[in-house]
Amino acid sequence: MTAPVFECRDVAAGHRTEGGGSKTVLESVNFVVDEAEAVAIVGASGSGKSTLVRLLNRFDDPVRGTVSFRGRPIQDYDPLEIRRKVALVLQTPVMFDGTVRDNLSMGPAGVTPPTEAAMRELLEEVGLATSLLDHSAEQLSGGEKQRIAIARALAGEPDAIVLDEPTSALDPKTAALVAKILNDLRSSRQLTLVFITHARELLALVAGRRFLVHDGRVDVDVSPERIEKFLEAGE
Amino acid sequence: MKEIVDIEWWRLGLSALAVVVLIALSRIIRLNLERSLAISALRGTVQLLAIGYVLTAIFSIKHPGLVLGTLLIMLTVAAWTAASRLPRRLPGMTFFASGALVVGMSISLFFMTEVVIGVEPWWDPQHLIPLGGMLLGNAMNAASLGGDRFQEELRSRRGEIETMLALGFSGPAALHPPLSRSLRAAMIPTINAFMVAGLVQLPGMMTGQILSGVDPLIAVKYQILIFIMLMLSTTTSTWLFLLLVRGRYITPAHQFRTELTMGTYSPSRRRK
Repeated sequence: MTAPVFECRDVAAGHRTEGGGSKTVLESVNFVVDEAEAVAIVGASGSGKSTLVRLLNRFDDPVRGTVSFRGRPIQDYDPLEIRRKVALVLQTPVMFDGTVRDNLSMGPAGVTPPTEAAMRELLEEVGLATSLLDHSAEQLSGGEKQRIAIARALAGEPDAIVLDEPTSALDPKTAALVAKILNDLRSSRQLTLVFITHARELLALVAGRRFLVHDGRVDVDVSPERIEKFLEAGE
Repeated sequence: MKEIVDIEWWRLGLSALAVVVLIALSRIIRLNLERSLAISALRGTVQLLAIGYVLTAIFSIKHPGLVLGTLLIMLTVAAWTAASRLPRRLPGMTFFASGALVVGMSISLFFMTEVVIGVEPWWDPQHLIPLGGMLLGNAMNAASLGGDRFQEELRSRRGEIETMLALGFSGPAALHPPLSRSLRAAMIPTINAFMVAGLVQLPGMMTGQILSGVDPLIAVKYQILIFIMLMLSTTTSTWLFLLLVRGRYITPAHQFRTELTMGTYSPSRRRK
């Protein structure tokens, strides 16, 4: 049996405070995410959804408990290695100065940038024309930027991709497109997906499992009906 | 060389009339600056007179310990000022500023007094104190400008920094673009001053030397030396200071300490 991609065991998580301590937001978090699973995380703003996903690429450390990646505690890995294996895509895509090519080939020293052919393939995977390579990244639309951000995260050949509300800034049509792209990536690349969302199109198309974050807890494998009830209450 | 022309005290007193005129003007056009004008004129005069007497004493006692002690006091004030101008004050910043300023000042002072001028004895107060003060004052301004900009960049560019970290960049690498922009911004005043030196105004030190009778060419040589040494010390001090500050914003696991960038930054609440 292979080790799960992510495992949280008795995790308490929060955020660091100025003095070096921490304020706990989530208690007794326990879950396992297997290879190529898709997990949607739903919860009110401020409930600790971001706190939770930031543990998975070691942007933060848990207050207590163990977060493991492929059977080993995440602290045992080089943090920079974890960030390449677990790609994080932020809510607002950030494009750096230069062309789409510059953005796709951007990476730390010592890591080989993708080849020209690989960059074209990446663009095709996220449904963008290869002619965009020479375009200024700053001038793209919001949806295009988010797709470039996903392609850029894929360039490092990650095992898992974690997304913080990937479609919240997009119009419904573009959001549906991004949802489809993510779903295709999951099957084509055997990619493990963990994403925060409130978007029904993402939940319907991609989510294999649903977690609900509320009152300092994470309820694992919540029914679609309960998620729907939660979403309706928030509207 | 011409005789040095002293100013008689009563003649210097005449300049106080200008302050009175300014205060009157402020009242007439309702600038509401009377108090500040009076206080700054008075306070500046008292401070400068006091330092004049202190320097006279230090120059006549001629003791290395006294010279170094004076430099240490100047350093402490400069470091404290630079650190307290930061929009987000964090523990240890005065210490960081002291370290950065002392390194920048020492390199330039050593080069100037030992390598170029050849001061005898090495601790000669007439050279060390005014030169040290000039270097410290400029480095202090540059360090606080750089620190202010750096903290503002860390606050406003969180997305860029976290995107770089998420792509596998190390903490220092992800914070490098804000650091280099801040260092550049901090260096602009020093670079501009050298760029237009003599075209717009004569630098203060040169003006003083010429007024007190020194041959302009000699004054110019000193001024060139000072400009170069100022660039060296401000760059070194500001760069070091920013590197030390940067260290506070990242953990050994290359995590960005966003808790230090949130909440309390607001220009109106600065310098509390």
